[in-house]
This record gives sequence, structure tokens and C-alpha cells, in this order.
Amino acid sequence: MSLIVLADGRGVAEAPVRILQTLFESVAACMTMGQAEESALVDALESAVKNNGARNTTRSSLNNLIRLALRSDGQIGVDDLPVPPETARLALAGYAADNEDLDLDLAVDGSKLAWAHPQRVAVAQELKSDFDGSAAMDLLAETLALRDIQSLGSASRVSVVRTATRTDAVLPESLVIGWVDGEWGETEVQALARATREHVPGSRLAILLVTQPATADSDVVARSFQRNLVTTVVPVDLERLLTIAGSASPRDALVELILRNADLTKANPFSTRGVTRPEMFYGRSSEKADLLATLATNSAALIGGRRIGKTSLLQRSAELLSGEGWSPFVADLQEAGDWKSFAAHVSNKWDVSLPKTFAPSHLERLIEQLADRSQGPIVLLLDEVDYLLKWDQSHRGRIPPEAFFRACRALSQEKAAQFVFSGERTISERLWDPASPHWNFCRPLLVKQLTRADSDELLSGPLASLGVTFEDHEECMDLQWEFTQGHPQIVQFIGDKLVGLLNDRPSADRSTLNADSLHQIVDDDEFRQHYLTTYWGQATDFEKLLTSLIALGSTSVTVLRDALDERGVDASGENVAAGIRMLDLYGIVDGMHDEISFRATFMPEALELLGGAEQFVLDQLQTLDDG
Amino acid sequence: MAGLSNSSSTNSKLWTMAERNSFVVGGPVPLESRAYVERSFEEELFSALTANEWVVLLGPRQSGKTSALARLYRRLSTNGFGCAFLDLQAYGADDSYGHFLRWLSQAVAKDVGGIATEREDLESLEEALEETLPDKPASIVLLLDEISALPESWRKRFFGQLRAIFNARTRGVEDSVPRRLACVFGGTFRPEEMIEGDNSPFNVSRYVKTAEFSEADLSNLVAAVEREELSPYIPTIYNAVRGQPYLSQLLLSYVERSAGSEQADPVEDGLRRVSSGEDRHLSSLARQIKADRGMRDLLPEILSGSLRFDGTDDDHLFAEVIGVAREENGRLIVANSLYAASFEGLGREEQFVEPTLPDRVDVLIVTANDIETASVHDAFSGGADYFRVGENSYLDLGINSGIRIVTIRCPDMGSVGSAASTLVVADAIREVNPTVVAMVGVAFGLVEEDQQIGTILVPDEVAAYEVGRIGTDDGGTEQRVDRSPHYNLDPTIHGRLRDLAVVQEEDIQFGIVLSGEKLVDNKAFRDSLLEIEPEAIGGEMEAAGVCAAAERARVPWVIVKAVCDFADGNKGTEKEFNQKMAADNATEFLRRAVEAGALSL
Repeated sequence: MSLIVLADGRGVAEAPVRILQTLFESVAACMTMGQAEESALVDALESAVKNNGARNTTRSSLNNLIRLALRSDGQIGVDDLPVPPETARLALAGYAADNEDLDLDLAVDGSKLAWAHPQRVAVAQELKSDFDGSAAMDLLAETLALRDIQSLGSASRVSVVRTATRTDAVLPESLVIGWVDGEWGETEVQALARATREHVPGSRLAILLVTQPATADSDVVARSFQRNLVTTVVPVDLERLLTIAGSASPRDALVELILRNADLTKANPFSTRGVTRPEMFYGRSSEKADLLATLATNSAALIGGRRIGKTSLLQRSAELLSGEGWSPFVADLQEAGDWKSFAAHVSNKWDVSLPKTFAPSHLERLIEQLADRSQGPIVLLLDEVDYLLKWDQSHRGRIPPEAFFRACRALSQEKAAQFVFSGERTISERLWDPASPHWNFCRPLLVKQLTRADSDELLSGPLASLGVTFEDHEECMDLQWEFTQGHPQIVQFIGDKLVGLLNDRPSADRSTLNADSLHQIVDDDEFRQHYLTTYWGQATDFEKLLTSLIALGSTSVTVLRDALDERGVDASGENVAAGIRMLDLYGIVDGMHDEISFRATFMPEALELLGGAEQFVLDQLQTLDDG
Repeated sequence: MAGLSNSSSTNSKLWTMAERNSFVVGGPVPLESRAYVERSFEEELFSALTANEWVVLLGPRQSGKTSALARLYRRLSTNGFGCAFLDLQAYGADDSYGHFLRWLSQAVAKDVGGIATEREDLESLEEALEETLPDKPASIVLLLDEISALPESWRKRFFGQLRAIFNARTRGVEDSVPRRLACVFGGTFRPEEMIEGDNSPFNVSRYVKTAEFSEADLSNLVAAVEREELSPYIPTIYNAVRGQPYLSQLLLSYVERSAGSEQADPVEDGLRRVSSGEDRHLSSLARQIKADRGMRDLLPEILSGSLRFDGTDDDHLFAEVIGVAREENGRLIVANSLYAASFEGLGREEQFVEPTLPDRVDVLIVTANDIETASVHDAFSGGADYFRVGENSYLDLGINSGIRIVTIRCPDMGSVGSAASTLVVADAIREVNPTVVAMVGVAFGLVEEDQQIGTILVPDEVAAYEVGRIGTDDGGTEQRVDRSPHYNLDPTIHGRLRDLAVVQEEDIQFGIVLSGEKLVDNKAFRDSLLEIEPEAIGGEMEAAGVCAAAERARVPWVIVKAVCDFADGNKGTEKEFNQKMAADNATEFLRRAVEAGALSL
């Protein structure tokens, strides 16, 4: 038989091609109706004509024998095959080569093929005839190298444990696994989802070991059911457990099940809000190297636009500095609006004792206490420092303005401690002001967009770890660069939306994306909106006006000033240069004076959302008038 | 509410449980009510939280935010989340941040379990939650409703600390507060005005907007309450109000009540009633527009239909938030034809002349929370202009039955705080010189067997129970001696109000009302209050301050409150619904008193 076309029942329609090929290995072409309609039937017929219908039935028969022997005995030798030894050796080697995803071990002389971990496969086989949930869990834990297994009791017949994984973009730090013997369904899945939320903070994923797969029409395989769960639950039946146990990469085998069965909104590696998880932190090697080099002699300030990744870089830098022998202390100064609240925050955070009437002169005492319990040189990494800086600069009292940062400068110059500040507008303006004590105190390190390679990796890496690839990788990476210019938050926005697209597809159709998928996202107004608000961040109306004038062709400070003048806006060259400098900080433009161009090259097109650059200029002029 | 349900007044606006119709008009839809249709934004909300995101839930007043949050609370709580619902407008009495953290800790412990902190020196939200949260459940969601009600003095600090908690999610131990916590911020507010962008927890939250009903939703709604006979009216209702939830339910309710009458076009009649000011939805929205400079400036452009929608413009976004406009095909247009017809004149420049202090103020009405304030705004229709005198902002409600009414809200609950009733009313008397000071609002009942939720209490005597002597008797035991000052209702007003109650055949309870600084929700403490005043009929928190300030200035006062709970530990049960019912009942009685001339001195 050369061709089988299968009617698409619900289960068959979602079956991956690889499973169909395994099931009907001796058939040259096997496909579902859906696949046939797309192109597989034409391809198969063309191939049949080309090959004149011939195929190597011996090879597939031998493969079948090898597969059966591996399943039943765990190994097979050349003598077990009904062909001459040389042919048998080639068959074993060919089988191993064709099944690289299986955990096989081929003897050096090719005389024997066996499972690399035969015990795992044997246990998985035994479980099929005599299910023992605890043993199934142990097998899964061993296969996936899960640690710290801790019983969480049971919930609605489901025994539940918490395990620690080698966390990555997809697998959580703690993975909850449940098992149930016999019949199972909605109740058991819901019970496990609930138990997971009760016991593991923020856990979005759980595994349920079961004896039998869910039936195709069961509620638990319906996507709507998974979306209603508080934690997505991936059922792993004994056949799937066997697949994982016999896989060369059990983690990938499990992730394939997750990709096909989970509600991907809960297993989404991308995060469009807040600080990036360590597993999702890509690139920034030159920024980290700059920071390390700077701290040898000076303090530093990480400055950049909103959502560009300053906080993530600061946090990763702390880990790096620790590894380099520094003693880093990190504080998030979101709420520190004056010296007193700074002292209250770090006292609690770093367990130091500071006077309630804290003044900048007490910083020395703070450093002394930290030094007493540290091995390496002290470095304070102070995130979101704009708020404190603003107060330090503008307060009126007995102590002169900017006393806090003058004290930091003194400590830095004495080498008592170095400082890494992160912030946006306020700190940048101070650093750029020659009259400010910050000017020669800490070196500004601009945090801008990712490099092209890092940007590619930020999009494709997490998708790859979810088992998703781009059919036309180069084209897709070109597109992502065209539409993001490496802004990490916008790259993650696209990644997040792509996962959303996959989630709306049938299980069998979730493993690939292409340029059309990307266009579905970037051609939407929501993307343009996101692009503008992210790049502009805290840009002023004047800076937005400059952006739109650049989009209309003004490419130098002089031309911009003339363009403003023509429209009745009185702005000095200094004002325009300051605005351009801020747009440069935001990664919107490159160049400062005579050759200004867009770094965020999609900006003119994004402005179409607001009626185009010309219209937006008129709107901004109106806004400035009103203001 | 036995007395009220026996009322012979056929057009009574006072609510009884028995009088509720198939649709829920005003206040959150009770959990057990069938008059509820789930909308897509609720799924988005759930989905975001199960993906561990934080959420800002924005939407117009009366668009079903609180009803949705109540259902979200139930859904998450029954699925392994620890969920705490915090109505931030219920916070008051003290303006220190530490006090607020203890209040929050108590509220969280009550809903989620755990032990409320008693620490006086708390300054950190993370620490407060660390001390409070139980080990289980692991995933905690705080539903923070009406966040704009937080005092400005430490609002930024609270939001800054929340943002710091959010930022710490990617590091630290797995069971730490940042890893466990998610928040939903609900309300009708401008996020950019709450806190600067870089310190804002809103910048890291998913924005979810409430949605209006679709025509299909309205069909599902009438089916749910088994009133399919109303289906033919749905297209007309939808065309007029475009699914605005409150107005849709209100119009359906009008149509339902008109069944059997000879009303030719009940929807048209309902719209006429709404437009005439009988319902306060439009005037409330108009006040929101007037009170916001950006909205005032934008309204004419919205009404023109040619305004290009700019999603980066805070005013455009806020117009959607308050519900006056919606985005359609890249334009920001007026939300529905009823608003278009009603607000046509509002866009004219002359409507926005800054109002000033009226020539005379006959009655100054004082309120202490949003629900009470909304009830007052809804009950009086003589006008709606804000004006400022000194630090205080007043709303001139115009002439009602010949009486000039001005209202002010105490920013803080209680009598003692810097923005609580004593000082606010003292300032107000000096600034606007009213003939009578009236306070309306909610109270707890002390005679449970004779009272129901909504029973109206008119104190002929207010006792400030906080004042007393703590001594020691001969046996060394603590001895409490009551020294509470008592304030008496003006005899003329007292007599008129009693007459009014008799004429209207309504069960208004007159007697002693206790007033103190404590938000009482504990049966043992409540019972101990009856030892001070065995005859007391109810208790509350602001009347003592109002009376003290008024008596010092020799201005007559009247307090009208209604029972919203029995201070027995069950305050949270249907709290907002009960408060709304109580506040509406109290205000309606005051309105009738004004109408009947009972406050004309």
C-alpha cells in the first residue's frame, strides 16, 4: 500500500505527522484529510510518480522489527534480524540515525542497539500493565532530573507532589505533579489545578499522570476547559510517559506535550510587563562589560528609556558583580522620595541600623556597616533613583541641595564604595549638566536597544525552548528587526502575541510560525499603539513634536528649528538639541546635531495610527498651544 | 424593612428587598442574582490573573466593575487562590500610613486567613503582608476597588511600594510576598494622576476595560430573569444607550414595570424619565465631565464626531474610562445617542464659567464616603456646580423646593482626624454660613430585632461614646465611667420630622445614636456599647464631630442615617449593596424633609 488518507476525527486531526508515520510506517504516504487538502496529497503523488512507486519495503519491515524488539526486550542484536549480518548492522545503524530523538545506544561495532537507560523504559512498560502512581512519578522525576520531591497530600483522588526543576523559559522553578489511578476527568484536573495554586506561588503549569489518555471528545482536551483552569494541567498517560522515558531529551518530549495540550497563555515564556526573568535575559554583554570596567575606577549610571531593560540589567549585573568578587547591595528606590524614606527602605532591606533623622552624612555609617560583613569591595546598585534625586535636588533646608549625591561622590572618590544608579529623565539631565555634582562623578552608560543578534535570540530562543520554530527563519528575523529595532519590550510584545496565535490553533498545528504570523501582529493598530507608547515613554509633547518633524524630513537641529519657527513655535537651538538628546536616550533617533536619523525606523509608519506625521504635527501644535 | 414595605406611597424611591424587580438598578448585582450576564472582559481579567499578571480594571461608574470583581473573587477563591477584596473608600479614621497598613492587614487576614498585624511601627507594605499572609494558599490576589479614594498624603508611597513588590518578583525565595502576590486595581480614575509614571504599578499592569452589553447580552439577560416577553424592546434600548449596563437594566426595568399599563412606548417613556433627571445617571456623568478640565475641553470635539482617536492621549483614554465616548473606526465618538442628546449643550463654553459661592446656603449636607456622596448627588437636581472656598471643595446642588443646598464630603471618616467631620464642618460653617447642617449616610443598627438593612435612624440625641474615664475600683479592677457629651436635635426640626414620618407612614426610628472613632464590626464590642447607652438605636463615626462643630457655631443640625449592617462581624456581606440601599434611603428621607419644608428655619 502506498497511500492512506485518513478521515479527520477530532483525535486524528490533531495527531502530529510523526505519530501517523510511526503508526503506518510501511505506507509510503500517510496523511489526514486536512493535510491532503493543503498540499500533502499532491506532494505524495508527485513523489510516487518520480520514484515510480518503488520503495524499500525491506527497510521499513526491519525498522518495525527493531521497534518491536526494543519495546519488548529493550535491545536487539544483528542475530535477531532475518537478514545477513551486514544488512542487519546497517539496519540498526540506520534506525538509530533516523530516531535521534530516542534515547538509544548503538554498540561501537553496530552489532547491538539498546536503550541507553533500559530500566526507565522497562518501568514505563511495566506501569502499563500494573499502574502505580508513585512509581510513575518517580520515573518521571528521574527522567527529568527533578529534585526536592515533597508530598502535598491529595485532592479529589489525585496524589500531589511538588518538585524542583532545572528551570528554563518554559518549565517553572517548582513543578507540581499529580497522579490518579483509573478513571479520571474534569474533577481530577480541576482538583490538581486548585492544589497547585494553593501550594506553589504563581505556578501556572502542572502535570497529571494518568493511566489512559483523555478521549477525543472529553472536556479536558478542549481548549476552553484549559482556559478556565487557574493552572494549566497537562495530562501524561502511560504511552506518553513511555515516550518521555525513551526520549534522548525527556525535557523536550515533555515540552512537546505542553505545547500541544496546555493553555499557552499560562505557559507563555514571554513577559511584556515588568522585570525580565533571568531565563529570559538575553544579550547586554557589552553593557555588562562596560559596567565592570567602569566600577574599577568610578561609579556608573545606567540611563535609558522606559521599558528598555534597565532594572533587568541592574539585577543581572548584581549577580555578575558578586561572581567577580564585589559585594553588591541592590535597592529599588521606587518609593524613596526623600532621605528619610531611603534610610527606612535600606535599613529594612539590608538589615542596617541608621538614625531616624537620617542625613546624607550618615551614608558613611551605612557603608561601614555593610563593609563589616562583606568580603569584597562594596557596590550599591540603586534602581529607579529619579524620584530621590528630584527631591535631593529641590529640597530646601539646613543641608544644601544635592547633599545625598555629593555624599555618594565623596564615598566613591575615597573608594569606600562604588555606586550604580539607574533612572531616566532626571538623572540624565543631571549627568548632562556640567554644573551638577553628578557630571564628573559617575559615568553614564546608555541602555539602548539590543543588538540584532540578541534581538533575534530574544524572539526565537524562548519559542525554540517551547518547541516552536520559524518556517522562514531569516525572513522572520528580518521582520522582527524591522518592526522593533531591538527594543526588548517590543520584541517580547511580539513574542507574547505569537504565543497567543499558537494558542488559538489546533494542537497539531502549534509547532511552526512564519512571516504571515508576524504580519498578523505588526499590521494591527494595537501594535502601532504599543510601539509609540513604548518608545515615547515619558517624552514630552515637544519631544513628540520633534519626532514627527523628523518623520517629515527635518534631519538637523538647524532644520528642525526652522521647521518649528515656520509653525510658530519659538524654540532655541539649545531647546531643540536637548529634545534630540532625550530622543537619542530613548533610542528613537541617532545623531545629535547635523545628521539626525531614526534609529526606531518604524516610527513614521507607526505615526500613521495618529493620522500621519503631518497631522500629528498639527495636533501637537494645538496641544502645546492649549498647554 | 417592615415599615417601609407597608408604605402607602406608591412612588416611593425607598428600597425594600421585596420591591427589587427582575433587573438590578443601582449598586452591584448580588452574587445570587440571575440578572447578571458575564461579559468578555471578565474572562480577560481571569486569564490575566492566571497568567500571573497584575491588572488595572478601568470603567465608567455603574458599568459593573464591582459586580465583576465580586464574581472574580468567588471564582478565584474556589480555585485555590487566596483572594482579598478591599474597598478602599471604606478606609478612613486616621491618615497615617502605618494605620492604613494595619487596616489592610486586617482586611486581608479576614478574607484570606492569617493573622492581622498589630505592629504600630509598620511602614512597609511588603512587611505588613509578610506578617499577615498564611502559608496557604500560595497565590494571593488583592482586589483593590476604588483606589482613587486613597488619601493623597501617602498614596504615592503605597503605589511605589506596590511597584517595588512587582519588580522583586523575579528574584528572592519562591514563597516571598512578591512571588505570591497579584493585584487588581479597580475604579474610574486617571492612572497618570495617581503616581508618576516611573514609579507606577499601573505601568506594569495589563489594562482591562469594562465592556458594554451587546444586543446578545441583553437577550441573555432577559432570558436569565425569565422575562423573554421584553425581547422585542431590546433593539430600541440598545440603539438608545448602546448597551451601557446601568441604563440598559434601568430601561428594561421601566419596561417591565409598565407591563399591563397602557403605556404606548415604554422605552421612549423610560428615556424621557432618564433625560428629565428622575434618574441621576446623566447628571452624575455631567458632573464628572465638568470637574475635569480635559474632559470639558474635549467634549465638543467628541460630540462633533470628527475627533481622531489618539491612544497616547490621556484625555482620549479618560473619555473612554468615564464612558462618555468610545473609539469607532479610528474616531473618538460619543458613546450613545442618549448622551449625544443630553450633553449637546454641555459642550458650550458658557456652561463652564467657574462657579462661585452662592449668595445663601440654606442646608449644608455633609457626607463621609463615596456611596453617601453619590446618593446625595443623585437625590437633588437643582444644579451641579463645584466651587472652592479655601481648601475645601463644595458642590452647589442649587435650589430644591426653594431651599439652596450645598454639599461637602469629609475626606476622612470619623470625627477626630485632620480631614474628619469636626474640622471640616467647622470650616464649612465659617466658609458658607449655612442655616442648617445636615448629615446623611450609613450606620450600624443596635436593635437587630426591630431593624433591617435600610431602616432609617434619626437621632434626637447623639452621644459621643469615646469620652469617658478609665479608673480603678477598690478591688483593683478597671472601671469605666461614661462621660460622653450628648447633643440634642433642634426641637423644631425634631417635631417636623416626626410629623413627616407619621404622614408618610414610614417607620423612621428616632432615638439615641452613638458616635465614635471606631469602625465597629465585632459583636462583643457592639454589645459593650449598649452598656454605655442601653437605649441607643444605632452607631456611626461622624455625627459627634458634626454636632460639636454645629453647636459651637450655634447652627442647628440634623443627622439622617440608615442601617447598613449590625456591626456583628458580617460587615463584608453584600457590603456595597447594603450601604447603597441605606444611603439611598437616608438621603431620600432627607430630600422629602427638604421638600416638606422641615428644614426651613
